[in-house]
Amino acid sequence: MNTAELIANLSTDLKPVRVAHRPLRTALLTFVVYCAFAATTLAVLGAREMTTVRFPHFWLGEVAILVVLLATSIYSAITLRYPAAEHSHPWRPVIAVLSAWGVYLLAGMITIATKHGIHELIPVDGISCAGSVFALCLIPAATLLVVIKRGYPTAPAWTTFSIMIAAGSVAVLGIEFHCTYENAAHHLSYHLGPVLLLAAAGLAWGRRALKHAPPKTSFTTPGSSDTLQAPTRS
Amino acid sequence: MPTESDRDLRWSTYMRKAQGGDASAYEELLKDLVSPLTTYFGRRGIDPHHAEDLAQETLLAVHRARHTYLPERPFSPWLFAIARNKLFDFMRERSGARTATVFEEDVDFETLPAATPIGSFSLLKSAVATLSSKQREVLGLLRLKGLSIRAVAEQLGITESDVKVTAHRAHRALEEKLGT
Repeated sequence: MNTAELIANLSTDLKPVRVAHRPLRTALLTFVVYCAFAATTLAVLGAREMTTVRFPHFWLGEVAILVVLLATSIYSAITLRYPAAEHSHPWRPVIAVLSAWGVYLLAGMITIATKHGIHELIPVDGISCAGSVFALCLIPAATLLVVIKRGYPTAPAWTTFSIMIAAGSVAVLGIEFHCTYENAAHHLSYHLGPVLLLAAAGLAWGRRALKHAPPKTSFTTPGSSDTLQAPTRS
Repeated sequence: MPTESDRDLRWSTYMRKAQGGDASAYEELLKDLVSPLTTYFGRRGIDPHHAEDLAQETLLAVHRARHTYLPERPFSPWLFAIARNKLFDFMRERSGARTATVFEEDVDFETLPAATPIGSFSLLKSAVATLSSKQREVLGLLRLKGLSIRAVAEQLGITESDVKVTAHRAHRALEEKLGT
């Protein structure tokens, strides 16, 4: 099929479309839905007794970082679903906040170990926390993936990276209110660790997960039974 | 002499109308895009034949993604983000093409019946019958219809590497059955 035929067929195939919403609006809506998901999860799992928090400032700081991480990663994922996103590299703030979380936990680990002994450097076993993060991120990740797939992401790896960080951070946000371990090494290994694994999986599998569906392979010329094939590269 | 911003404004207006279902504006837009797209690919070292193919693929992608164009945003960055994506796909495919070529040479199904000692059609038929439906479908499209790996992948809605792996396994299974 030559280009002129293709254009004629695409024009014939044209149907009115509903223009996608602005990214910020969709991102805000997603953020609210994610927060509702975290709250529901917490209601099901049960929140810890907040008066027993040993290091409230440290805990609050981590929660604040997680909220920022959630917001930036959702905005990044939603923005990336459109070609020529409003910000050229929206995943950069996500990496910055993720790094800040790691540095914050490391600093907290050293500070707490200095005050309370070297045993604070050894992570308290938290396989259940890691398992919960992986299990809880499934629904948010799948939901956001569906939303993103309705767009046309041109940076699939970074898009799924952002999706996985968003899903992981909302899961960890819920876990933060449930997990009673206040050992910073535990948070580093079993809260941040799974999110990093999810991010790596997002980077590795993005192209496959967001592979654009093959274009419609044929167009029927009006008034004829001929079916013209979409171009295939020779 | 229209400037780039005039051109962008015109494209943006056409696309807005196209989003509303105006086929003539859409046709004008697509016709307008062919030359800049071919030039874009040509300037990146793509030969004219492939540049035209890539321009066509970009037009198809524009068609699929037209709902993602936000009318208040400039059109050119949106268009060339899609074009760049197509270019990267092409480069990636080309870098993997050598592997695919070696693989296709390796899986020479046309010589299989002749190389079979018994040379029996029924034996070949029974060997093919042991393959999964997906393997038979991939082999049929690759070897009987002579489609490229990419075309098979697009037709079946699977990845190119999936096509290669499926064909490779089918080949191995046939080799085992036919004792070649």
